[in-house]
Amino acid sequence: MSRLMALYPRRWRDRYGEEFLALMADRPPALRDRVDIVRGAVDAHLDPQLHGPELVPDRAGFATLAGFGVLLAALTIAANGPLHFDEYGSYRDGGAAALPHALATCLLAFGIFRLFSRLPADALVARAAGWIAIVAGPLWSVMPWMAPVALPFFIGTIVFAIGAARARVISRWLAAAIAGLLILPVVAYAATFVVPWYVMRQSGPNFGVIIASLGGLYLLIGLRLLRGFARPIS
Amino acid sequence: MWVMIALRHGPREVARLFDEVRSLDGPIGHGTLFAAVARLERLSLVERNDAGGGGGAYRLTQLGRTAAGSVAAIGAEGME
Repeated sequence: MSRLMALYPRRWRDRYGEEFLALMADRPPALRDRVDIVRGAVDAHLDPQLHGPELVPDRAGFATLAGFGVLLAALTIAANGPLHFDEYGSYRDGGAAALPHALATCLLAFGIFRLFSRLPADALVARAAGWIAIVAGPLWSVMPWMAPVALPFFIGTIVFAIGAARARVISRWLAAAIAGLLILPVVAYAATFVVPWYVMRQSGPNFGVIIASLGGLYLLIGLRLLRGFARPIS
Repeated sequence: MWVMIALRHGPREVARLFDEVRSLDGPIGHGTLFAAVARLERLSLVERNDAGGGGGAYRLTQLGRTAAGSVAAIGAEGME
């Protein structure tokens, strides 16, 4: 029974779940009714049907999405930086991208801050992790090779996302997506403690993983903010 | 529409509403009933009355009563 109801969106279950289960207990569904329930769940996902609170978009999402554009610009600059050679091989000097990268990361941190500001006061772990991410992110952006700064940023963001989902500021799916995106950069940066830095520097896939993950983070947070939040009851 | 017709006679808790709509409209499913109720609630035609405790019951709003009256009147004209 409850497995069928699990097909419905969470907000729908919060609103109708109890009486839906009671009806299924009182009037056990036949096979044809079960098909109807599945159809109803699809319908509820396509059209939430709820007379729920009005969602007010947070326009800070535009800033975070703009940050994604700035990040792409920074990448383009870094990828076309002057080529240098040293005893470990060759590398592109991405110094010129530092400023746009810092700007992009600040816009991302601003998006995280906007989510952070919706956390309840008692979400202490999420709030602490959020602060760490918000501070470590811009620091990391100007020294992206520094794992001791990168790891607090990425891990802080993961813990913040999980805490925000527990506080129902974001969905569990979004938290899982953020954690999934950032777990690979965490592994890549953690690897720098055991793998020589010049090996990591030559590793294009590592760089690509980090950039793709970061890009996804900008998009997820920006779109979540623009989707909106229930208007607070005044 | 059948949900509103069923509620014209007063508030109904879900199981009874389910039975009455089935008697009016044939064997509709659980999912269809709740989709209809949710949409009617969103349109402010139906509301849940939780005041009496227990599982609560659905009833027509003022707007819903007007709409259901119109539907019934159109149906009666059609029968003549």
